[in-house]
Amino acid sequence: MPGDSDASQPQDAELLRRHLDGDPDAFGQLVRRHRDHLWAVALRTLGNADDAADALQDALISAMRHAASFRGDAQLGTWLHRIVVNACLDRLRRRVAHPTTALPADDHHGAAMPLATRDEFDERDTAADVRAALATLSPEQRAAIVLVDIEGYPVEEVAAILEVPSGTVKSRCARGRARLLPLLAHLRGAESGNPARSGGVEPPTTAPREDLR
Amino acid sequence: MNTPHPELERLAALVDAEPETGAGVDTEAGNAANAAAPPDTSDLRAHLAGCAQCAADLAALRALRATLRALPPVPMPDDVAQRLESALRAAAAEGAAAVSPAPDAPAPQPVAAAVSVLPARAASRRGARRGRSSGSPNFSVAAAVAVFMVLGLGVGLAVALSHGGEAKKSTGTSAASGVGSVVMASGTDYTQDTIRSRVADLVLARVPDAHTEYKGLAPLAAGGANAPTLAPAASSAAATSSAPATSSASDKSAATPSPTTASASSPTLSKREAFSGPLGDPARLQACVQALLDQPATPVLVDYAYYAGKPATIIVLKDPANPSTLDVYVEADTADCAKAGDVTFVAFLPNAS
Repeated sequence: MPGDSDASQPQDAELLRRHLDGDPDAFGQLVRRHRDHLWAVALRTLGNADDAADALQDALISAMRHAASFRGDAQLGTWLHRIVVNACLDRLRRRVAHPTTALPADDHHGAAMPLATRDEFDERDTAADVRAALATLSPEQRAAIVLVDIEGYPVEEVAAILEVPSGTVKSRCARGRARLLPLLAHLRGAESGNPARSGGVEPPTTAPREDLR
Repeated sequence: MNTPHPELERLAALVDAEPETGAGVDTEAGNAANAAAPPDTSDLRAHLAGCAQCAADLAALRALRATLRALPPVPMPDDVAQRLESALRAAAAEGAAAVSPAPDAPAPQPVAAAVSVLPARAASRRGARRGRSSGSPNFSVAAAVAVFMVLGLGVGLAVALSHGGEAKKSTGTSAASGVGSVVMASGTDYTQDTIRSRVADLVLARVPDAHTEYKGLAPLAAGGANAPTLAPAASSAAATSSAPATSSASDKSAATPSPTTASASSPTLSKREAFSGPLGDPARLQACVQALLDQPATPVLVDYAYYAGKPATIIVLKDPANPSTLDVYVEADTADCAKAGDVTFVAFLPNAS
């Protein structure tokens, strides 16, 4: 799905058109094309699978119902991301406002994560540590870090998703990284102490998203 | 070397300028990319050249970023995918059927009115628009959507006309922009969810004889007993999607329209100066109306307010094809009325049929 940048846009547009024409399956197909990316963003921003699934469902149903308000000045993928990210940020802010809803520490989505790569335990630990560290960031910083540093979207793209200037995205990332660094220093130690591993890490499959632009 | 250590944050910003493929550690490629970084980092570079501690921090930040980028992907689990698909299918079916309102959706009156009115409305809108939307193949789609959206939402209706036609240059005749209009700067931050009820409120309160002239308004008004509300999930999500700008200013997060407060009437943003924005100029406003309707008209009401947190002008026009119906247009202050794509929102306030 990622990578077929030139082909994806007409397909998105065609599916949207069919949806607007009343095709009941078209929007579902449209979502399917983006769902793994949307899921990753929601899961990593919210930190647990239950919230992510709820946010994603709310956001995408809303997107479907408001599909006519999609304006051609953004790519569909960007627009979908925007709606999902906003739904996540809303939830995060509500958590801040109602701290009784504790930041989830459960390992629910850790269990759901496919751990197919070669160093399962390390990766599971790393992912859990990153998740816990991300939970200490403000919602805005978290979204920026997730989109730019984890999912690898270009800063300009993230600026379009968040509807803020690129400079704002960069400063949120910088602040977030500065805050994460001490929390994840032990990971860094492991990595920099083992340059061979660091150099051997496969390029993440969440490659930079040209198909969103 | 003598300079004080820069804040970690400034070092962290340097990482942005570096190529992601450099999975962390070094330096040739990183330095090359950094040459293209904003000029105000020269002091940083000078400091880094002589400060082992900060250089180590920078290396650590690069490694951190590499770690984050190397996290394993998290494809959507099958159970979530299935749940999502069936939810979307159900919502789509609901949108397609929708003659019977959802059990938890109050306001059966407006729904019925909207359903009975809209097909004709959509058709007339299409006809009215065709003249100026030459080469706009999708307009019929937008018209069809108008029907779909009303059915699907129960009450709300959002149609962004996604294709621009050029505005005709013919000047309006006697219909001056201000005459007969109610013009205000309410400071209201409208959203997709609230605009219909709040505009209905405004028109009923401010426009003489609105009760009799636009009989369909009363059931829509938020003050009414059966103020329209969306089903909770849709309402929450819609508020989310219509408030994208709030993330730009965390200090304004209190202004985020939330599902529970969306229908409250207190303005959440400071008042705009009356008549501000490009459409504060009566000639521009008149040209805008001309572009929207293809004919000169006097707005019923103009509110220099906000939409989804951004300055916008709300223009309420009597529908040319159906005089007991009001068309509500939202023009962002940055918008050009002559481009239909810049009309961010259109709602039709149905008559009582």
